[in-house]
Amino acid sequence: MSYRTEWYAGVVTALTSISHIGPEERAGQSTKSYLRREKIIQPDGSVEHVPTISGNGMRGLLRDRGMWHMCQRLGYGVNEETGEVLGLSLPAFHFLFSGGSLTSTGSKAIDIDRARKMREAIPLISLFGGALGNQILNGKIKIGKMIPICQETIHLLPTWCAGDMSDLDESVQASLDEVIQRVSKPVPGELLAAVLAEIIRYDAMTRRPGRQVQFEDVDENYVLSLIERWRKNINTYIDTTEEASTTTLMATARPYLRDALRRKGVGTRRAHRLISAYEFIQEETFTRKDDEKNERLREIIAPDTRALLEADAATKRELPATTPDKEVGQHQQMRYQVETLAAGTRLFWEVALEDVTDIEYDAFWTCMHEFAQWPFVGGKSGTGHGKVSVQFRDWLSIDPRQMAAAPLPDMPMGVRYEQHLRDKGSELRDLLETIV
Amino acid sequence: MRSLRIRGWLRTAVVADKALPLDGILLYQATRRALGPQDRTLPGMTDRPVDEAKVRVPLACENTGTDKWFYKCSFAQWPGHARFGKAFWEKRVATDHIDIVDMGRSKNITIGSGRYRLYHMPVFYIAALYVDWYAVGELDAVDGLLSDVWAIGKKTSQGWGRVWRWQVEEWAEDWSVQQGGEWMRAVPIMGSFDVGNIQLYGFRPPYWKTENQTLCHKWSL
Repeated sequence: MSYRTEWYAGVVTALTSISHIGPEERAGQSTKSYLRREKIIQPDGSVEHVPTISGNGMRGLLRDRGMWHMCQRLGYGVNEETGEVLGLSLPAFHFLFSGGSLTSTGSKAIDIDRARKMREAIPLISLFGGALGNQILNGKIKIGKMIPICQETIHLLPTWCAGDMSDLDESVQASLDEVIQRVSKPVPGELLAAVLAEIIRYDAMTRRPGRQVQFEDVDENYVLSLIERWRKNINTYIDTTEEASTTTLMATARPYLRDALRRKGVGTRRAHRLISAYEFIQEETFTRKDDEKNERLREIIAPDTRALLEADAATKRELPATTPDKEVGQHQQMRYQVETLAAGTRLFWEVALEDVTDIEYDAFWTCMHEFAQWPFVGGKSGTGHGKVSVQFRDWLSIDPRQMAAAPLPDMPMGVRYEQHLRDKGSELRDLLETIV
Repeated sequence: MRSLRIRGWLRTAVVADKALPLDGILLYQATRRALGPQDRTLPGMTDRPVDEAKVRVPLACENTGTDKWFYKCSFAQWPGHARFGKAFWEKRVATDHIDIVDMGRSKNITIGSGRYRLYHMPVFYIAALYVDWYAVGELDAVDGLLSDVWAIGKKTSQGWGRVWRWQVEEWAEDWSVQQGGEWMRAVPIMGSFDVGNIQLYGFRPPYWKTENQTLCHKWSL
């Protein structure tokens, strides 16, 4: 059997604001919900808390879509033509949609064949994994986190995802490696200037967004501060003694710096604008009305109940204003706030398939196709949040804005999986019945 | 065999303890290359003995010829800027599609305990720009094995521990076992030892196997 291992990466663009709430210390005590955040270490060693969409959430979403598609193909649910109902057992449902759980089989024997048969028959189980009796079937798919493309994360992301920054290397370090290779005769001053020019370009792009970097901006104090900040990196690449002062380094590099900067394009074109993650974050306010108090809607409440409510309201009106309201905390009406990532936010996303067979590969395509039918991530999709487009690099594009005009690419790979479900449907249903 | 420094550049934080032994990762990759993907795992058990003729880890060994042999590879060396953090993972019953379930006589699902229990579990992570190991081994072979390691640590299927670049380079000194008098990994006690500095720990992969655990010199992290 042949296996393939493939990694994909792409950019997800929020078409509507994304809500992805994380746990908070004061959860349940406030009407405000905050985005899920993770610590991201910055190039200078400091820490920023950046909103990130969890890979677990995306994995669960793709799993649910794929399994639902499979169950429909296998005929579970109501048959619209005959009206017959074919139900899935709860343990099998839990195994497919949630991964199941380890259970004691009462036997020390390990049914290896069953695990292999299950993998072969249900490609999505092989992809997403699950617990079967006393065994764990490892999943073959790894779903990355969705990381906003911003100042705080750009040093971790590949060049291309940051838009037109085609010359930005994967990190300052990798970039410096390249600079060293390009300098054919490493004269210390020239080499130092080349390294400094790269640091200046990187710093200008990430720390001074939206500004066209001119030679005038690169004054001596600015360069000196950069030498101080990046001293460790500079020492890695240039054979300087620890004693060499910052001003000595500056003096060594100065004659070559202007040319080095010109070669890096500083002063000749506009630096790409990268904004901070905190500029993507917004707070949306919602209201939930207490419709009991709506006179028109009250009419549809049962007369007895309505009379009770009105009598209660009349009693309350007669109470002195200072009397505490016994129903505090029980009212339906509220205003609440949700932190969201603004529409237009671009996020970096990765997926890896490890040692998958052709049918498993097709099954993954099918999951993505199902996701494309309803491309929403995060929470509150019922109120329009989380609609996204996905552009995998050199691979798949999901854009709900163009679905009518340009449907998803014809996917011959999905055909093998569909054929598998047709051919092995009854075997598969039998197998699912064995899960108890 | 050469002294090496292996650096993994991290895109996302790693869910692991601070030791995070690289020889375990290399053994897994070597096994995967030799025997193909793993069908399943059994909690607390290993049913496939490592066939050393087929599965070769390109690292030098210490204490060879004894049952306390181990690979010359340090535990993870985290940079000063590394930070700890806490996040959560969730598991739930997929109620969206519950209508296809034949509930039989049962009218409800117990989600507070048992097999359908909902989970809201903490994960403790280490965020850093990179993590280093020092080893003695074959540079190209180590580099080759690491080339398809997408992520390290636990919960890699959810995007944790993503390594965007592996950097394997020759290192002037051998820091795989000791550096400046400090132990760089768990080393089984073979002779005299300092009673105040001992630790029961695994000394070769699989580290969770009790057969591979013994009293070791306490290492510095």
